[in-house]
Amino acid sequence: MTNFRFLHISDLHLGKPFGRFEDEVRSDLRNARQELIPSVITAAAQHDIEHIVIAGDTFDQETPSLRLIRQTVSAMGSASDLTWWIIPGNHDSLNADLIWQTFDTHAANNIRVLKTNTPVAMSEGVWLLPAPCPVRSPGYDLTEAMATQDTPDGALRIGLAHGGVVNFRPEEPNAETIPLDRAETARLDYLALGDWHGTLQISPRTWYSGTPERDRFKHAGRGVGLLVDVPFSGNAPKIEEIALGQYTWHALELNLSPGMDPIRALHGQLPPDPDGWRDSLIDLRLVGHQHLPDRMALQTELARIAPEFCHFEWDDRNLRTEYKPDDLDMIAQGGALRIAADMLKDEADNADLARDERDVAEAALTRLYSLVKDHAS
Amino acid sequence: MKLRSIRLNNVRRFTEPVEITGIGPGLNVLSAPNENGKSTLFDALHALFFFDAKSWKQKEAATLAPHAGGNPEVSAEIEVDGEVFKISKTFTKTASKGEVTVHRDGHLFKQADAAEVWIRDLIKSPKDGGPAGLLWVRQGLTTLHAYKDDDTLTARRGLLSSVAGEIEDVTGGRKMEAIRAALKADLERYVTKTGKVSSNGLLGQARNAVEALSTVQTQLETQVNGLRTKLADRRNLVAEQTVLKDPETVKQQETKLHAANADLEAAEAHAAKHSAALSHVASIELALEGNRGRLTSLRERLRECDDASEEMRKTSDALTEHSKGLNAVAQELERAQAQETDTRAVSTKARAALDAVLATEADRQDVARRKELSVRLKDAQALTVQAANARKSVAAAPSRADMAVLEDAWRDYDLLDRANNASAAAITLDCAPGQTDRITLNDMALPQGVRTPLPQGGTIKISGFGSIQIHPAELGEAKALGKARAHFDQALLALAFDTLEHARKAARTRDEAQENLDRYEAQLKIAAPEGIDTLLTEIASLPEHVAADDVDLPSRTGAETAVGQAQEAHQSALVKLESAQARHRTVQDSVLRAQVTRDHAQTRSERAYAAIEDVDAARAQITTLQATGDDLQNDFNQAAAAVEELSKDAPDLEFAKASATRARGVAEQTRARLHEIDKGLARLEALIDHEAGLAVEEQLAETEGRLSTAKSHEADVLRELKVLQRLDAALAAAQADAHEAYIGPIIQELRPLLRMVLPGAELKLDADTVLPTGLVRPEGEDSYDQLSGGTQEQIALLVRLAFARLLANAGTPAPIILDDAIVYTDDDRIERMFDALTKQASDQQIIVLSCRQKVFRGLGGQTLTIQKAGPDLAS
Repeated sequence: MTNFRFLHISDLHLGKPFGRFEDEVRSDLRNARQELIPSVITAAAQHDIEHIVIAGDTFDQETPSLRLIRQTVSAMGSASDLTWWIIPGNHDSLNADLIWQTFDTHAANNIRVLKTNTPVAMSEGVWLLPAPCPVRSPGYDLTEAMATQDTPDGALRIGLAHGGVVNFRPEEPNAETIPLDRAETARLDYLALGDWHGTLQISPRTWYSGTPERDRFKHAGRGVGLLVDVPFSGNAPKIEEIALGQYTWHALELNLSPGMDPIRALHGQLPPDPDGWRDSLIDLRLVGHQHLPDRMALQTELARIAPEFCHFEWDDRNLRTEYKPDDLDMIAQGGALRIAADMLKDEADNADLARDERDVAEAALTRLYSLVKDHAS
Repeated sequence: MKLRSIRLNNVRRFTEPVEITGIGPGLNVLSAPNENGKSTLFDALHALFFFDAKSWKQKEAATLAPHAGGNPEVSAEIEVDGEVFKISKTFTKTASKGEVTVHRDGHLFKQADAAEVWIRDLIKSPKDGGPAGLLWVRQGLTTLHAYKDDDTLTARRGLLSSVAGEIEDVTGGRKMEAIRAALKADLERYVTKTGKVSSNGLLGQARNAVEALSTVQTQLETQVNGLRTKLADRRNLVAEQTVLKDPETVKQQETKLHAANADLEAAEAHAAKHSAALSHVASIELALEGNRGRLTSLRERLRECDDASEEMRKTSDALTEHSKGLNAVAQELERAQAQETDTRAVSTKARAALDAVLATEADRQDVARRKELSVRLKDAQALTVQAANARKSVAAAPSRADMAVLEDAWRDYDLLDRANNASAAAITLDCAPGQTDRITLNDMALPQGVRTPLPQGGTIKISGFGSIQIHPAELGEAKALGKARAHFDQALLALAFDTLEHARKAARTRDEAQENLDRYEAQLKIAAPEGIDTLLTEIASLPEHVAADDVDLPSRTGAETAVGQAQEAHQSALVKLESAQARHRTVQDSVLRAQVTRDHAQTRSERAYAAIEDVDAARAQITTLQATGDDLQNDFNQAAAAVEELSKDAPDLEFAKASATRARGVAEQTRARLHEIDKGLARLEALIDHEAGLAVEEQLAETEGRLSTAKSHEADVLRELKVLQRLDAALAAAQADAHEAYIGPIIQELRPLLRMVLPGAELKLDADTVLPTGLVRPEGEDSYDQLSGGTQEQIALLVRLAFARLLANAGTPAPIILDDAIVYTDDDRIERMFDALTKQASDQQIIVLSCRQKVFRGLGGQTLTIQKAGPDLAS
């Protein structure tokens, strides 16, 4: 055996409620998360994997329903040929008695919840150095101990931790930040990290796997697990992404300009295969300028295709309408309707007015256009 | 189009051809009496332009036929765009035979149906929305409804549309209304008709959803916090339980408890021994104390017997001594009492003598006072009589006021009399010697050489000569003098005096009497200041003589000296007596006290000896008791030494007890606490199991997400409402502007005409119907219906003139034909209407038909007449 293989996953956030979505979508997304454990088991079978390393946040809350915990324990336990190495993350820290006591009581032998930072042997010549979260915010670097923890000579050292490597708020010093060179300073062959929901390589030996079922547009794409092959030779591990998630999240920005065909531009950004739309969530941000008819056409098209997706939301607050005289002529060439249209256009163009007032006027004008079209006959 | 001439034949009364020619391009007036054919002319023209020649069946055409029968023929020559046409129609009972032709420049241009079409194109009938309905006015119309409302409405709108655009285009028309209706329907999904947010509307629902989710969120937060608290409690209890059940801890606790119990038992055994030794010591100490008590008692009783005997002896001696002293002071007291009695008698006698002297002196003073008062009484009585007399004199004389009146009357008279005399004629006699007696004045001698005034005239008699009568001048002063004299005489008479001198004398007498009266009253005040009666009372109270004048009485000074000496001697005796009494009391008290002391000593002695019975036996007992005491003291010393020995190195029983109690308490507390923890954990487990099954934290996270979405939705709904409201406001404002723009042209044309007739007035028109709705004048606004018939008539006509101008401006001028259209207008207003018509006729053909010949003569313009026609050359 020249290397040691395992699947690195994290941030399953089982029980995440997705409250901001509509009921139907919420239900779909929750069910998809529940299917993660079977997906992992299937992937493991496909890729000849015996060890699953979960780098924290298996659960979304400290007190999920007992039903969810028991079903998770049961699903993991059912794959008796797999060993699950689990550390508590900040969402399900050691304080989450409900979870870990249930595991203690009901987990099968193939489930190993690591509650201390004592190194454990995963396999012959392979040691796992865990850094479980004792509480939600421990206030110190949990991986610091790895640097001084000894393992047998020649054994592989695999770190398992949950936390950030970058302090995004420098004005608030965060002692919990994991040093970028932890793998080197702790002589780790691989450091499996969790907390960041997107897949991210920090160094050749340090990776965030990201959540295997994406849960926000910030980390768009489809969730994966990392198939890690650590060579006993001491060389850098080989990493392969394995798709695990059902849904693909898309954060799109459509930058439009007058004269551009908005529908064509829209479809240029969307997944090309409509068969995949039902498993896609879209967050479309519309920016730039459009002529009034084009904008109306775009709105119509958006309304038409949106139901075909799992979820489709768009924000046109930053899409400005550019009016040509012809546009207003389409409302009316004269008379009261034209007066109203001109009035609203002047207001929308009036730089002295507050942005909100201008936006309202612009939207009112668009609405007028729409109403005129509706009553064209 | 302009009319140039009209020709009728076989039309009602015109059975012979008549014509009206020379119709000018401006104002034309056909003024003729009733029954002259004006309305026939109007109707014929109307038929010519608006009815087919084959429309005999229509009532209007049929009424043109004369009674005598025949086919009505009407023709008119018109000018259109510089060309002259002649339209001719013949109506026949057999309608199909009706004829119509149009000639241009004398040549047939159109005929039959083609001609009718040409005419219809030229002048749209009211039914087709043509302007004739506006411009052709029959008698007495005060509105703009010359034809059916719909027709004139079409005409008015058509006319304004030609100027301002189609009303549909200008106001948005039905499309605008439909859009606003849709918008309104949209808005009603958010707000009520009054603009308030509807609780059941979309915004209300969004707000309700936010509120409901906020409530749920709060409830869930409470539940989550509760669950977290329970979990933390359970964690703490488990940790505590672990510590308490730790085997090492339990073993240490038991060891401590055993050691504490053993220490306590040892300490308690030692304490028992110590306690027994202490009891022995106490019993010896008790016996020793009893022995000492008896010894002391015996000694004290013996000493009491000795002391009582000695006291008895001393107090008896003292009593004897004090009794002797008491006899001596008793004798001294008797002497002092006798001396006091003597001196008091002397003093009383001297005082009685002095009182007698003083009483005699007082009687003498009263007698003297009575004499003095008697003299003053006499004086007072005399003065009273004098004063009464004087008062009478004063009362009898004239008063000062009356005298002042009399004196004034006299002064007035005297002044007038002197003036009269000074201005009156006077004579001065200067006779030859010896002739003096011959001449008298008023029978009295006339003094010689003296100027004698004659204010009353008089009679001068000259003896031997006769008399000369002198008449006084009739002067005003004489009358005043008489009046003054009469006044004076009247004043004199009122005072009952015959002369002024008498009166003055009486006045002087009164002044003197008054003076006397004042003096008498002053003297009387001195003699009897409080009145005569008071004086009499005082006199009566005083004695006339001294009661007892004892000649043996000593002098007052002697009596007073004797009293002083006697009182002094008595006072001295009193002092001595009091001193003797004090000394006696003191000695007496001493004797009493000595007796009491001696009695007390005697009682004490008796008691002391009674208590001891036998003195010698008592002394022997004392010796025995002293020997017993010495033995007991030796025993005590030995027992105390034993106690001290036991106290050395004794274990601390209290400390041992405390240690044992604490050790047992700790063990007990641990057991109790473990029991409590078991109970608490069981309770928490049950609660946690229940609440964990609810997944409240998950529910909370979900609710937070839903609340965030609900708030976002509320913001979106609110923005949507703002957009709809903004659009609604914009459309309403635009519609209002459009209405103004639509009726603007007619208002502009109308304004100068209206102000010629109704200065300062402004007409309000409804944009939809283009009909007047109100008249605004400086004094206020009236609705059109409230206006008088005359004003309505004038406005209706002026509006038509304005419409006609709009037509002309639009390139389709049409004649205005007025058939007695001004009937309600008064003479003043009609002049201004004529001005308006004249102004408008400058570029507008107007044909006025009127029966009011006299009035309409002032209108001017081209005068038209109906005259026999020549042959109709054109046809």
